[in-house]
Amino acid sequence: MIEIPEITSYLRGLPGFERLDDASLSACARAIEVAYYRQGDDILTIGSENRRLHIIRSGAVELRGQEGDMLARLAEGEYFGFPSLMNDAVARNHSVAIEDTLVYHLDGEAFARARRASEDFDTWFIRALTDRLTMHPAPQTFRGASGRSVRTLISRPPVSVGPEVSVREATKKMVSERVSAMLVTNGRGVQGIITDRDIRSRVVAAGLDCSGSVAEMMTPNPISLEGDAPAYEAALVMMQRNIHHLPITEEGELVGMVSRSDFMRLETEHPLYLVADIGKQTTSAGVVELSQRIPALIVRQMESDASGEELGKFITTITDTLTRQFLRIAQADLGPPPCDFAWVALGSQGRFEQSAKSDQDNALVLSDAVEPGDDEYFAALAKVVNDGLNDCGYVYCPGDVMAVNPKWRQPVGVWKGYFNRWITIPEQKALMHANIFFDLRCVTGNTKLVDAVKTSVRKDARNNEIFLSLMAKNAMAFQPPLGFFRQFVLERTGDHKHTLDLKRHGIMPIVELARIRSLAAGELRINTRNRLRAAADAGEISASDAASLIDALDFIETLRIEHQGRQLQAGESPDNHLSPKELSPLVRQNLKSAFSQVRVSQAALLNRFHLA
Amino acid sequence: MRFARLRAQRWYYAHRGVDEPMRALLSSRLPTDRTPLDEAEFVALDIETTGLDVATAHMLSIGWVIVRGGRVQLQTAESYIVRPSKGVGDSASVHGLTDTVVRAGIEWGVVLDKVVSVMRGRILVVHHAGLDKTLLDRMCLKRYGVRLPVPFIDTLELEMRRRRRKHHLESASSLRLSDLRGEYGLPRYLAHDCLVDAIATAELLIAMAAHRRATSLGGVLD
Repeated sequence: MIEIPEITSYLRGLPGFERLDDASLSACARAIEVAYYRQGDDILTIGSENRRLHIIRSGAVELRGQEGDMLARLAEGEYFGFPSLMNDAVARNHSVAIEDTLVYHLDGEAFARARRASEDFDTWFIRALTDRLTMHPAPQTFRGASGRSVRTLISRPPVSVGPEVSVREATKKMVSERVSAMLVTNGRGVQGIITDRDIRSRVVAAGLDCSGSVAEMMTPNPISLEGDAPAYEAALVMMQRNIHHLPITEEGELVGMVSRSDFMRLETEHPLYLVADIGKQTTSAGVVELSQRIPALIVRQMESDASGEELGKFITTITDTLTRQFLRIAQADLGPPPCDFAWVALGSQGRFEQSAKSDQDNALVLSDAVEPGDDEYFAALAKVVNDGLNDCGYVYCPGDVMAVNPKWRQPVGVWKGYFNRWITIPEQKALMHANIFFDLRCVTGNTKLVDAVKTSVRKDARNNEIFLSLMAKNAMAFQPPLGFFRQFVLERTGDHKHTLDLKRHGIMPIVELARIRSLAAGELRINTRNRLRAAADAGEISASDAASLIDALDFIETLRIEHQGRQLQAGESPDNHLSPKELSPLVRQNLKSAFSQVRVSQAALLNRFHLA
Repeated sequence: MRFARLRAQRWYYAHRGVDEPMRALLSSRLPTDRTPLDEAEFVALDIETTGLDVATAHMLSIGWVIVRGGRVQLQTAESYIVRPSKGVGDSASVHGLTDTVVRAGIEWGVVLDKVVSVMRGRILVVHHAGLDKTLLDRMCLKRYGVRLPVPFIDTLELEMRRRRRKHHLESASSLRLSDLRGEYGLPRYLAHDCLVDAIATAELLIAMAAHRRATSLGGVLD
């Protein structure tokens, strides 16, 4: 058989085909008919028979539906016609060359043989056919320190003594081995632990005899971790239990011990240390200075395989910590508050979904017992926090939704009134700005104040079809694009954009869908994923729709993490604008699938409220 | 009438008597101007030679592909390296073929038989045909005692005629195969062996036919 290396190597570079072996690729190359279409020429018409996979070699093709509506624009290296080919059906779309176009028509039999020869190839096309995500975010090769397993921190074999040994002997051994803690073991495993601190406090300070056995003064049954536990977890356990040493086991067998100093050596930038350090600051300037370590921390989390969900929680937790500390500093200065209050996070912070680039949205809910003169105190309090967060990089909310704005610094009764008005006398425009208020979460203060507002909201919103349908209408302001065309983002209008706004066109549509569906289900969950799950549990959406939307959100957030991670590492300020040039064909395909899932869910939402 | 001369030439050769596969070629159908483009069959072909002088050049390698139904049929693609009677000479470095590779090739007469067989009932398409067509004629004279009596299209010649009609004659350099392909929106191929060039020529032919909105052979040739 004569080889056509030029064609074979071209095919090898195409998504799906890269999974074929050389023999299958050569066979495919020879099973191609090359055709040329002038701009405006039809390639397949709706209802026509199709026995080939059509590969665009140069030029561009538009796919149109029954109504002549544009479904997609395809460019070099993209395929069409595989749905009809694989389903043995007639073409369901109209394909038209929109430029002079060279098409490789791959024979259907050869395509079928290649699918039989390679399961990966087959899977790729089946997934493309069902418009599912064809891959999950690729695992990163580099893992950050906090993603490491705890066994990598063990520096030496464990030092131990038997329970019958005297405290004096044990202490001598600790000195000679230069360790600050030692395990007490017998034949059956770890019985206890003794540390410098124990000897100081339980023996010396208590005036006990050093000839007593270690069994009498050890801490029995110490908490331990398996070696494959993440280092992060070990740090967390030590912080929570206020212990300095942690025995590490492999399938129950003692293999070593890690101490807090192992972590200090490992990474002084561990988030837990930052959180602890922030808590020690007594001035706003001190907190702001510490906040400069946040970008490096975020990069580290990104490198350690953090998912979008985890990263959102991570960043939000730090923002919450900063907020609480600013409030503490302000109160140290201003004195105790004249009445109970709750500091409320809104929007992405409320939802636990902040990214490396987030502005601040917050409010104050005051007790109804507030006196007219008290606002001066809370105004000053809000100013400290809002200014502080701004200095930390959480820029002032462009819509002025911040506690420093008197309108958003009100007692429970007024808040209930706000929500009641939004819900029962809804105006489209006012509602559009009110969206983020439905993501309210108490960061610190009296949670009951926020709960009171939430209960009232839940009651008002449930079954209020007019309000919900206006929310649904507003949600359509955030639409995913149709797909990609060359290095551009293809809008439904046929317009081309240079960048994809991952937030506006990827994440927000899902956030909006989740918020409305959860309100409609009579739930006031705050986190998008929880909202979707709750809506599915309540039967408001199907479980598979919820799962698909969560998958789509995971995928888009992972892209955002990678994009912002690159920017942070390059010392740039992170944004949400992704250039299609950064995307591999596979990622494009997956994004298209994610978009189409969102579109299906949006259409269902419109149907639900009879807006279609 | 187009191909009248060719028809006469074939009649004359046939009466002189020639061996197969040339005999079958002589009796194959010749197209006319009215032959629908979808029914016409073409062989796009490219030859690498030892030099540019027609008198002394020898065929080093050859590649071709058939155009049928207006589409380039890659399953018909063929290419051969020809074993020369003499050393490869200067051209080896140009084409990246060494003496060793070339010696492993096929005898020129066998390759020529394949060319004559594949040309039966088909139209020869070459880009910048001068040297290749002359070389094929000379080889056919030597082997069968007659020239290669097939209708042929030179895609460079077609483009020149189009430009002359439009009164903008450009420099010859922009008529190079790769430049011309670019003008028709055809992709750039990386390799430059004779098979890739044959495929490139075949694609250029169908692109030109599409741009002329040709439905019959006459529409392409005029």
